[in-house]
Amino acid sequence: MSFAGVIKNVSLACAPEAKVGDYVLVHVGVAISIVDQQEAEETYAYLKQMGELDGLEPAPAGGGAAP
Amino acid sequence: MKYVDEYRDAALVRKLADAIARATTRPWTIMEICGGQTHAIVKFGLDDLLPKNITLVHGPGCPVCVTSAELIDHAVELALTHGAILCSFGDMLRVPGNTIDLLTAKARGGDVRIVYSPLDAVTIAQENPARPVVFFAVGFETTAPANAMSVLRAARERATNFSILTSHVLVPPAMRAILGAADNRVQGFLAAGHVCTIMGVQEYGPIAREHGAPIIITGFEPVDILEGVLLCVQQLESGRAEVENAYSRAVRAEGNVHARRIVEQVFEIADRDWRGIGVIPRSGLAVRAEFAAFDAARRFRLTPAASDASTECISGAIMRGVKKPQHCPAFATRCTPEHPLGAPMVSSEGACAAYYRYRHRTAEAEATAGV
Amino acid sequence: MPTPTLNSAAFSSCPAPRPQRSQITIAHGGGGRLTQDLIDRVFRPAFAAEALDAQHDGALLATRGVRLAFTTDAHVVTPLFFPGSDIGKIAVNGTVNDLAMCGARPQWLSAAFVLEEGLAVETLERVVQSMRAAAAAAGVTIVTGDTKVVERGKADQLYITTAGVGVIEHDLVIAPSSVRAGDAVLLSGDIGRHGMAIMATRAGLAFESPIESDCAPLAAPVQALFAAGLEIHCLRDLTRGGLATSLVEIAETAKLAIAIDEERVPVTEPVRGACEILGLEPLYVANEGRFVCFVPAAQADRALEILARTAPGGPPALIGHVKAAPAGRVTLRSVIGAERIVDRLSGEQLPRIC
Repeated sequence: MSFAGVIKNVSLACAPEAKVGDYVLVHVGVAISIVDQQEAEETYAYLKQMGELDGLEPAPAGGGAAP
Repeated sequence: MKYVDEYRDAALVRKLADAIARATTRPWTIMEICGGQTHAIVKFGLDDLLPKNITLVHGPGCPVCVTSAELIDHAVELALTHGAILCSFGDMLRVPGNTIDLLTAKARGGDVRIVYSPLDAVTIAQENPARPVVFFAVGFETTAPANAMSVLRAARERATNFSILTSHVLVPPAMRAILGAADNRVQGFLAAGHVCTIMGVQEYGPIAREHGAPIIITGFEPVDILEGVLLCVQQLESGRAEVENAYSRAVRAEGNVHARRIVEQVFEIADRDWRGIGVIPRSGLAVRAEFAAFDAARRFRLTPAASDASTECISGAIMRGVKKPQHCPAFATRCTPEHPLGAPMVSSEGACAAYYRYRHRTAEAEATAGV
Repeated sequence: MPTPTLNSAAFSSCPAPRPQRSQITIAHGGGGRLTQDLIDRVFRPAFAAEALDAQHDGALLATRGVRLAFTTDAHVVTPLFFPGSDIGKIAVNGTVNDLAMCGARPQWLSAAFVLEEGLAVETLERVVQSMRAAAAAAGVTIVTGDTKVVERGKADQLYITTAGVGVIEHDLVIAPSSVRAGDAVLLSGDIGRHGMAIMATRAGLAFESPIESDCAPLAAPVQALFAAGLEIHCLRDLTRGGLATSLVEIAETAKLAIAIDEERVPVTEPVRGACEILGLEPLYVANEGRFVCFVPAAQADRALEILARTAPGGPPALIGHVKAAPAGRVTLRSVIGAERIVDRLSGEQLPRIC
């Protein structure tokens, strides 16, 4: 497994279907989940879009305190 | 770093913070119950970005903090009296048991070693066949597969000198205990994303319905956490109480079947004593009888220790979200990370340590405002 | 801090008693709060001296019109050899750098060795050759030394203690007391390589391009800054405890505040990745060839230009500024734009599980 140029041996016993090129979530030396790239892309695109749309709406008067 | 940097994007974080501010019309108390989320919130200063009427509480999500003092005493005893090589995650070393902590045990000659993974502890056992090697198996459901695998590997490779001292805890029973308490103030949860990669989301539906609390499965990068808060607030504002998976890139509804099978092979559900909270029934994992040879609690004669004095201790109140660390009379005076009086001040993911490290300002501001 | 008594309310409401701190633990060597505690409670009261009170990397001394800097260091690193450096190279450069940070031209070093019975002579030779090369590169001479041997098990193969003397050839007082509100905080290069090189070796991490220690002498860039006539207020090389600890120490001694911007702090990809994996923060990781420099804001650009030409591990960066208040406070603006307080660690930075 390689992460930002770091190579580490990781167990794939809990993620046997992982293939070369997959991104996995690793916890204490064990891969516990394969990152679903499509889900990731869809969610991320939705988030960015949501942010942009909200930017066009005026904030309601007397709403929550601005950060 | 892919799948990390984009979830720390400053512009997106700000947009989410604005969205939360616009969505919030009433005060809400939301609890996160994952040490990694506590750490990220504090490290990135996320709760500073939330509107003032959202209270974000750090629940008992740090497995190090909820490990009972008695178990730490056992770990110390294994190192000092039984001559075991005691392997542990780093954070456990400074938590005091009823007497001393593991770091002090090391100073007194105990062979205490920090490992990155329980599998490394098995390797140490193989390299030191003449000595008992014990791994202090602390963690939530996320760590259970690795701990189970260490037992299975030791069994397979006949590392008979290896055993684990188990302090495993489960999240859903803790959530129920918190929501069911008479003085509970928590109205919604950010569930620990990594726990759910293993366990899936099924367990949370009944909790959300029975207690009327929305539960959002959340990751622990800044964008993930703010998204979790936003979805939680939206549900609270509209009176809904459902489970939503906001960490779908890593969490599948059914979780990780391979991991759970491995866990079920080695562990079974048992009652567990949560430090500062008390015994929560069926809230922990114990080693099954078939693997008794790898269960340090059964292999070694360990002295039973007095259980913690009171279940109404302030660290319990903090972990349940009823009090904040700065309200403890000893906070930052007699109780500091260097001289902790309780576990949440030691672990970098403990609520008190998080507040201590980054929240002098809040304390000063509250003091000035006369809170 | 008063000890809680058995009857105090706080004591009875928390289940865990205060742990005994009557023995030195590994955490005392981490360069964090416990180390500072030891210095404040044990050493300083016993060795009371004005030079010690200045709390800088070395002592500034004066006699018969000559100003000197004098410093000492003990070196106990394990393993003895790791990518990019070794205990000998660190021993020489560590002392050279402490003298440079006092604004002195390092000249003479001593080296005392404690050898463990059973150490291979060939290992000692490797270390000594490395020291020779480092001394030559830094322009210093090792002029005196000592050797002792202890029984097997009483020393981790080899300990080295160095002391050094340098001459101060200017009139400036380079120390935290010279720092002023408004000063620019400059960082000579990227952080975290040394600590991660060691930790990675210990944790068995491999790299596509290995992380090497950044161990290097810093006398040349410092001399270049002086030669340009810049008004340098303070210099500090980053060692154990990392950038964060150095800034906190300076802020506390100078009784000023420092505000830095996380995005401006250079960290290389492999160091970032290794820190993510092990759950560590680059801000606290040890370095052996980097320093921070406090200059008036108007001189920052000129100083950066000089550092870019002379300092290892560049490009250098302007990472923040000094503020008048609150005294001793270091704040960091995180990459997502929120502010948090940077404090010392308690002991050592330990890899996290979650």
